[in-house]
Amino acid sequence: MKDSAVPNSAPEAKLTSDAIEQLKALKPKVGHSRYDLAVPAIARWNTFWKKGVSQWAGDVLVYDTQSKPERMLLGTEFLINQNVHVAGSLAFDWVLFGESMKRFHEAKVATTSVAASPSAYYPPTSVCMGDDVAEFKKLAMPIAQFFRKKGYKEVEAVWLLEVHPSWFSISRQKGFQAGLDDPAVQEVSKIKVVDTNPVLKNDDAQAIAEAALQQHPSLHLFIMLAHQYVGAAAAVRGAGRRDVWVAASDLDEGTATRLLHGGWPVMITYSPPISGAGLADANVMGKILLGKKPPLIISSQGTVTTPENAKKAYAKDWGGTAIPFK
Amino acid sequence: MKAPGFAGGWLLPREEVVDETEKHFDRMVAGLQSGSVNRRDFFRCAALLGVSLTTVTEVLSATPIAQAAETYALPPNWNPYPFSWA
Repeated sequence: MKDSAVPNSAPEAKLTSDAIEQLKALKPKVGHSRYDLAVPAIARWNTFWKKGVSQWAGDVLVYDTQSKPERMLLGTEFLINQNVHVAGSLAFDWVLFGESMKRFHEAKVATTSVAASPSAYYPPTSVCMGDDVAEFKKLAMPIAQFFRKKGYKEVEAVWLLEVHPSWFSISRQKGFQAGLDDPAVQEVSKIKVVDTNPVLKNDDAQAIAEAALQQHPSLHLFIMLAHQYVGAAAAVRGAGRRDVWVAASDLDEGTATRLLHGGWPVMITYSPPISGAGLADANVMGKILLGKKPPLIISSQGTVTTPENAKKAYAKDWGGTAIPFK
Repeated sequence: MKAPGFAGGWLLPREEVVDETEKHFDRMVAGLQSGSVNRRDFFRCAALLGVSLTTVTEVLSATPIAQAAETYALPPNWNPYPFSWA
């Protein structure tokens, strides 16, 4: 990644005013197929991407897969049949989405992807993403410090994993595990993962977390590094366990509200680079349509977020807007 | 006895519903070819009618895209995948 990535602030990831004028004259059609616009982070990625391409595109199409695997190919065919020359894709399941990416390759439609490469066999033309391995490693130390402050030198944790892992969910897991294994972190407080469970949606994440609370009475931490953290947080809140916390991902209304209200049950999250990646996605599409070779990877950086920096993180990662949740 | 179906606000025998659906789809294909139905609406309405994805893509592939609406032309030597990951 170091060799092939440029930051989203680099000139290679920007469109000049001349390039925008050229694109405006050409009126190209662009489209995106999104995993699920009901997920707040994805909806906002879409908003920033739309804001970027709307400066120059002749037509902007969006297809919502609604997290239904059977809709993935419909979205792909829709974009191909609409004669889109560059399509964005955001899929969480890299196995299922391989077929979709294959069709884009065969139709000679260039592709971009926010947050993840949807297929290892048919990769996108350019990917706009964060370095999840490095970023999620950073979550471990603040968690250890949090527990040490509360007097815990060692805590038991249950890790909930996505049943259909994406490229980036595996990167997140690898990074976070590296953080847990770091001797410096263990010196502060050792976080012992006593169980791992696969989860699909918020509902089953809640049921599994409820069962884990029963099975592991000395449990103090749930790790759920994706939007299904909502289920784990609901289980902890429902059980009234003020001595159990959740390490989450995304800075949506749920995490933001809990952080602003003292950090229970969600005590830490990772705020992904929403505006950074969304606008980079738009810019890279413009470059491709002008026949320029885009960067293979455009990296954007989010923020490890706790109650102390929630407002600042939101403003940084959501395009300078103030946090709308109280 | 014929199994009932629902179409146009009336309960109809299933065979008639299928027949109505086919006629509706035929009208959509004609509309697509004449340019009175755009490709996006065709795709959406066909999905609502329950037409298979294969049929929809076959029709769309066989129907040329109206060139007048397209001002964008691919750059020379278009290579959508310039990077080799092998």
